[in-house]
Amino acid sequence: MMIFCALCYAFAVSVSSSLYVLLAESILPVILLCRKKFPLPYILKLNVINALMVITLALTWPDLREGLMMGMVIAWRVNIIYVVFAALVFPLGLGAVYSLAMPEKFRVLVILTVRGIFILRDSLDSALVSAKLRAPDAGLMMRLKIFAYVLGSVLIRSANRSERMTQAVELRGGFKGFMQDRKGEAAC
Amino acid sequence: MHISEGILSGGVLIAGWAVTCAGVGVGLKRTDPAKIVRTALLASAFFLASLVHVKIGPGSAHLLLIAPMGIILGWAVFPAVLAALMLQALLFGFGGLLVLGVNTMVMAGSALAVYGVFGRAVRERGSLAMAFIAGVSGVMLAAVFAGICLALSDSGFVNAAKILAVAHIPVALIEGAVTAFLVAWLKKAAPEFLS
Repeated sequence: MMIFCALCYAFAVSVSSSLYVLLAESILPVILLCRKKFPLPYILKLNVINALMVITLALTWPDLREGLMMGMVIAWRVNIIYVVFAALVFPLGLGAVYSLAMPEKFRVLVILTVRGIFILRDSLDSALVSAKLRAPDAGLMMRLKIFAYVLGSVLIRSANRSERMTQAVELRGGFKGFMQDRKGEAAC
Repeated sequence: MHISEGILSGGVLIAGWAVTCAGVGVGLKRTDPAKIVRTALLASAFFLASLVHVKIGPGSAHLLLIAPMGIILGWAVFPAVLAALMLQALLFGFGGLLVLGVNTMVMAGSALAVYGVFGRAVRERGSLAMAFIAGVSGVMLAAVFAGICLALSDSGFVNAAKILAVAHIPVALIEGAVTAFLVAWLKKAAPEFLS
């Protein structure tokens, strides 16, 4: 419900162009900013990117002044939407995926993708470090070739690993058992 | 290639979600339940690899890996890209949730187009020239799709969309080279992966 409300709010902010409406919509983020701690470095980084976007729009818009105004309105919207999501949705983490009405197959895919990221991260990192040590001064084409070969070996490793994981899931009663486990109900 | 929150119009956001939902629906229907684990692990491998920065002169760029994803995953690219972008937003607070539909449509749509046009030539013949063109086309198509979404939101974005497309040309060439090298390696080391 919280996610749905946050998405509706973000949609309303996205389609607002009147400054008065945007001012009214800024009340909720201000309250949230007062009540919760936000990662300030992230907000600063976000606004550095916003500043670049404002400059780009000002220079590319048919009219400089209009482009500047448009860029500032967008930057304002981005800040409102980020604060709302950061306060209401991001703390839920993966819980947000479970609470949304999504097909079971997709939920399983998301869970296994997260698991895969942690499984494969170390092997990808070590392969890249090894490649860097073996060819520290390689030219661009050689670096791209090495990267492609590392990617290929990680893909094959992940495909092989997936076969073992599929067998493990089947032994535990298939995906039905997999999801029951997640809910804390014993699969067998 | 991510389009930020707050830029796109309501109509484009809704259309993006509609296309993404349809694509994910078809993708999930076509994915055999026994292949879900494989799809998930390949999605995580692509996700991790796309976070790696490649040094180019004084700067660096991260690859999108659109063509390899499309060629290897096929229709499953839609759920895989949606899952990856959703995780990026929820776990790392990067990218938006409202524009998730449009961003998925841009990335997965171009990957699927590459799969449709070049998939057979690359998978069956392992053609390196085709793999290079597929890699370049994947990035440029994504830039064009993103540009169309921007232009449909407001005609004032047309110039910014043109700059976006031009700025992606070096990334497209690099991605083309990586795709060609990857296909060449898979052809030698694991030809069954492409068949």
